[in-house]
Amino acid sequence: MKRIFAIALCFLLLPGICLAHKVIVFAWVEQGQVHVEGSFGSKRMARNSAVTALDNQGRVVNQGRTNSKGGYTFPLPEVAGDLLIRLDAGTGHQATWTVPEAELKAADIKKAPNAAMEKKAALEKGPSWIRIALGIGIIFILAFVTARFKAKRDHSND
Amino acid sequence: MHISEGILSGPVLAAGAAMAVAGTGIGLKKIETEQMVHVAILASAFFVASLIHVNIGPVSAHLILNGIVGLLLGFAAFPAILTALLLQSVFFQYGGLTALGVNVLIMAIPAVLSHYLLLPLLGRSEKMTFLAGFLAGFSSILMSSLLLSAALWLTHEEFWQTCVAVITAHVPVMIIEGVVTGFCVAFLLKVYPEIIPRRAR
Repeated sequence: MKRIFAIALCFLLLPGICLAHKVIVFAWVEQGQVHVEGSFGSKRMARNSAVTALDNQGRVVNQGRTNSKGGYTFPLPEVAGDLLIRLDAGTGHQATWTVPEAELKAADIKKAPNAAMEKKAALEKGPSWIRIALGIGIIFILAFVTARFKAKRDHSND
Repeated sequence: MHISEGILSGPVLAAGAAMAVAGTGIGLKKIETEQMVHVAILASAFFVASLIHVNIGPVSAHLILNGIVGLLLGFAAFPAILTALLLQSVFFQYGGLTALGVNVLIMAIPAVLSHYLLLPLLGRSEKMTFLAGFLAGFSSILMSSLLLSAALWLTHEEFWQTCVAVITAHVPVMIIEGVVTGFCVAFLLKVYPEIIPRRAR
């Protein structure tokens, strides 16, 4: 039993550094321009990724690619309703961000609203240790339940 | 290596889900009760492996560890990988929930193949054990890259271009996973041979 714990510990201590791996897209309106920023986490920018802006009917209103800093800017389009920004970083990685209609109408604002910045910060944050521990806990609980079920079935077959 | 939401077409998602369910069913049937703790350990390792990033030059990829999971578990890799990917999707937003079946296939098929092709090499000698582990780690990532490209190609993307992009991005991971799997398997055979399937000990 001690050896099982030792081996499990070896495997689970393997990740020395925890970094997020997901595509994140963030967009905000500033002085009549829509600014898009794509990344794979806080410091890894999504370069040369396809950006598509869609209106609430699913019509494409702008298309382009992010620059070397993961950014893309385009003039604020005339749309009714929210603006959906889709970033396709290739090889199956895609993310979306919705710029609400209210934010589009307040085009004279000079920086992204606090709520949007908070949402962006939450997305960029790496996975917490609590979630990692919870995930491992769930795996072991499921294994325990399956083992019990199989043992019971084996016993009843005998 | 995790396909996001909204990338694949409906038929590809449905076929992937059906095949993943079938693989998981076979896996659950084949798992022995005493093997369950090993399944949990390896599923946990797989669950956290994607948090380890490999940054070499402009390339940024993460470890997967499907090679060692498959080599040691065989078909039981299906339920292990399914559980780990589901939790990664829910807790870390890695990969889409609708693409879960396809993601499971991409990582579990090479894992199971490495079990049946490379397990006979384990335990023959130290070098052969390391080689089997290295090949399992290396080839699983290579095959997963090919399957990922095929899944994207079935929907809309150009196969060879995607294939080259995915394989290039994962070359460092293939080498690192090969070495890690080689050392892990050699180490496990010495200190905890019970985790190695009986016929290879």
